[in-house]
Amino acid sequence: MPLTDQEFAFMLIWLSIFVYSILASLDLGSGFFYLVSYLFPGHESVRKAFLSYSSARWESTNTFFIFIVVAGASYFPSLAAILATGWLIPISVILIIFMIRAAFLVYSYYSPSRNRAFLLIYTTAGLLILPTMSLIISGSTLNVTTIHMLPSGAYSVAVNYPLLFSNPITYLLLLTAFFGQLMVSGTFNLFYDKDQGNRSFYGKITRISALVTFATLIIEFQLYYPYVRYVFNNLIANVTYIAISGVLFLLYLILLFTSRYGWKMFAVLILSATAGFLGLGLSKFPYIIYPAETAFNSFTVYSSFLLLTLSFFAALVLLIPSLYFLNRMFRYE
Amino acid sequence: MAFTLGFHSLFIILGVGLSGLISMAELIGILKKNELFLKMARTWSYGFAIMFGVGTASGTAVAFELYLLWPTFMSVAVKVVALPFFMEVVFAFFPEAIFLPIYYYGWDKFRKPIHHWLTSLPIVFGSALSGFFITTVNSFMNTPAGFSYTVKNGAISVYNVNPIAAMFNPATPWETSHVISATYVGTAFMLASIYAYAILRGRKNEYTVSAFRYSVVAGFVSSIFAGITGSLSASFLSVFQPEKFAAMEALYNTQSYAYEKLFSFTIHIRGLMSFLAANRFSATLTGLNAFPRSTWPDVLLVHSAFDLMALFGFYFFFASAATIISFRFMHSHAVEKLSYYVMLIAGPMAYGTFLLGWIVTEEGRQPWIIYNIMTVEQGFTHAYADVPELFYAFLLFYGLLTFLTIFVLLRYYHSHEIQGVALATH
Repeated sequence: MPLTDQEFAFMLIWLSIFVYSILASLDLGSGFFYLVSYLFPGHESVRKAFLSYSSARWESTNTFFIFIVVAGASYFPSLAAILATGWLIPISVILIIFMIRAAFLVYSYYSPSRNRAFLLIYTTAGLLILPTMSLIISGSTLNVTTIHMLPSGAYSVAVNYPLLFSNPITYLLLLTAFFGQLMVSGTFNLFYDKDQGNRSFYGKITRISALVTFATLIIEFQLYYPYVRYVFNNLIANVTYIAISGVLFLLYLILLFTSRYGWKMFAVLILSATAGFLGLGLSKFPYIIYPAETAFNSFTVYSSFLLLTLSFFAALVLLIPSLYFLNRMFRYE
Repeated sequence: MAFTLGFHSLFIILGVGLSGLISMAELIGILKKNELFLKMARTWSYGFAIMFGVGTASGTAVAFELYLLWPTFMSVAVKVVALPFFMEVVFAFFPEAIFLPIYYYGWDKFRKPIHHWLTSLPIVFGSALSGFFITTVNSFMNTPAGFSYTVKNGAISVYNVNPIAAMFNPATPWETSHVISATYVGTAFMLASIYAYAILRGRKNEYTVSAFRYSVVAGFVSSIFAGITGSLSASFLSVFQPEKFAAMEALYNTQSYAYEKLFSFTIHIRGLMSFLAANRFSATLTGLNAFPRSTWPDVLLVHSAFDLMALFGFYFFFASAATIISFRFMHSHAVEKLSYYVMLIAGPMAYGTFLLGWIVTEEGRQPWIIYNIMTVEQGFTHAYADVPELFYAFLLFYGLLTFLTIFVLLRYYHSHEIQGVALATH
């Protein structure tokens, strides 16, 4: 099925959000394990695994977030204006948490003595990032935003926050984001951390998070029908993806609860999440911010689209070997 | 906005300039088998990692602030100059973010030192590219190109967009080369200033002295480039942005054989300004009287900022040349000490010069935000009454973060007499 330009750009950004949420989960979710191992002694080597993963990779993870912001604004010029005006408050909160995380991580790495306070601040801030970002996803899916174009060409955007926060989907997505990141990073650590003693520690938290994530996803699916009918209808239309995702997730749960940890379990989880994200993305299309902002009415001019896409693929050619090199250099020691 | 960007420019200067100086120092260290140069590169790479970590996050905030404060401007800009922003991320930030940890943690991981040096190149080119891409946006504001537009009810809609032409607009070569060389000037003299301070405070040893000398030489070379590109930029402006040029030179009347003015003094060489701008003493330069008064920038501000910038530029050139000569040929203790003092003030001056250049290019374009197309007034936000408070909150937060970063940086260098701690193995 050939994609239209708009579909391509939409899915590119949607999949970037997906990749970011996986990468960020690995980095940020591990912060939770790090924090817990710090508060309850006995798992000092968990910290080692965390540092060995995070210290070399958090920069590129952060850069990925910047990429999403810039790519979104480049392909859909009005999007950034809307986020920076109507969605100003949640965006500012995200940015501030984001900056706190980055700054205190750096301080904690480089400051020899005050490690403890810095560590507490940056891991906690890190854990809040994805849940706060989920507000943007739920807000852009639910019918809470009104957009008017002013004669000057600027936008007047109003977000109905009471409506957003009275919707159960908002809270469920918050939970999904929070426990999802623990699930993803826990699953990853189960094979990344070679220390056998830490397995049960990761295993417990991962199992709880996986169950909570699963439960929230099931309930969300039910709630799309009464609350966001258009997504529900589209999900049914794209049911293949959802079904694949569901089956793989069940397989993942079986592997997890029978303690068959390893890279295969992680791969199954990622495949399940990919299928789910694809299905959800296709169901959300063409609405970037429901109902007014669509991939069609906010799309950039064709020449820009072409060059952006070209430079994206040119960059991939450079970046994939670089990332491979980075990962080869910083394998778990 | 100008204030935040001014703050952020510290990250820009060091982000671009420092990577090059680190890489060069390592190369010299490897080729000459000089441990001191390797130590310099290593020490500075730690500082660079801290700056980059905090800088990327705060850069995102700056980008959002742009949208927040200049919605109308950005609505035009993102359609036409989205490409450089996008390319900055994929071709500059990503390589930097990937190779910085490799470089930083890789000091003892490569069998051949030169292989480690090679990993610095993506950082050097990446950071120079990011300086380049972001400056093309500013040069687009100065000499817009690559699109057609219509104005209807005060709203600008663009069509026929050619992003390549917009990126390589007429001002691009002059402005980018000047900005990038200026970051090297800034970094080199800030480093020279830091080591001059350390030496004057009694920490004089082989390492501090050679770091000092290296920075001064780097500063000397880059100030030549900055001088040449700066002079070319001024000539360019006299044709493409005559109002800005006239304001920089306080030239009120169109004339040939124009006299150069330094602040309020006129230099009595007939046609010197004409010669500097157009290589001919007889050249006619457009004065402010050719334009309606409503489109004049603040002449006093722009003119003094420009002259001060140029004056500082000459100071960098001559002071570093004198320092090099004094170290090479005069082995006098008093002269040496004098050169430390001369360089001590060069660091803050270099930062100031960068800001002055920023004032010249931005204030010199007033009242336009996109030259001859959109005024600052039109580009600015009107819709949101609550912008200021949030804006100041952001500013406060940003200031705190910068302060804390400098504090941590200082503490770090105080407590570690760098022995090459590989942080991965904490």
